[in-house]
Amino acid sequence: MMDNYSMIQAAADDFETVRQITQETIRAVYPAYYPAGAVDFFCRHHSDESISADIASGKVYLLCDDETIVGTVTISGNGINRLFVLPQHQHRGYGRALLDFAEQKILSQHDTVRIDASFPAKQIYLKRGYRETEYHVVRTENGDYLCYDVMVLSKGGK
Amino acid sequence: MEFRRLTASDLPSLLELYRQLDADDAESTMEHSMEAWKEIERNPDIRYFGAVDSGRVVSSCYAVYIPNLTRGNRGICFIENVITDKEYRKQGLASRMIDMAVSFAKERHCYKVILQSGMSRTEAHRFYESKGFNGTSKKAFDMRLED
Repeated sequence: MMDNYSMIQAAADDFETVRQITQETIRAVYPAYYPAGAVDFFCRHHSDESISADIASGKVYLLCDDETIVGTVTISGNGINRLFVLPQHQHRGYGRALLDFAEQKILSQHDTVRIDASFPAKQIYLKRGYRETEYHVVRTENGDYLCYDVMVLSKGGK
Repeated sequence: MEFRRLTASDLPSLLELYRQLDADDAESTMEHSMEAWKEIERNPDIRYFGAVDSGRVVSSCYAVYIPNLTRGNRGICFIENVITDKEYRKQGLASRMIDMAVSFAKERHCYKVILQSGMSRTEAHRFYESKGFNGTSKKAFDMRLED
């Protein structure tokens, strides 16, 4: 694990890879935490259009370990978005590597890092020194509810 | 290692790397280099790629998209200044740089990618051929101009 990893800025022809990592991870992990309507909401939230636009503006990175792409993160201003590690590659430190990378990049230009935390990942962010600043409840199309926290990490706060 | 497009903050490190390209290259001031960089950054048809190790640019190339009126108006992509720090060679970094440039060419729907390499650099020629470039289909010409 984590033998020889690198962060690669995604290009237009990486679109399908980013889309696949995002959709596959949501479908595999989120149903244990969220009702069906919320899972669909997350899948639609990371739409093809938003992925393409983020790739075009150079915001999307792929984590590649020894030629295998295992995860992705999008950095938008001071926000960390679309951070996913493929289910079969989880629990090996890749998520931490993506977070370390994104936080370092953001904190070199901003005073805080902002992330919309889903349930599966909230505990990880708390341990890294993030604090909840907002709590959102969204009513999805089929009436299911979805809750998430906005969490912020301050420079020197970790 | 981070593989990404380069930005203004990478300029000092990139220039340091370029010193390995040609030791006799005319020195430029940072001010003049920054002026040139601003012109580059304003042009969406030029893209600089780099492998960055702890903030240091250790491999790079740039690609230029050139619009074209033949081949169904599909453009040409030209790659220049392919370089890897001598401490970082044989790790596949330049290969990744070329991949990024070729991805850019595909994004712009180019019909071909071209680059030039010194006649005597047979090892570099083998490398480019391994990346899919044809080293025998064309003969390149260049004309050096005085200041």
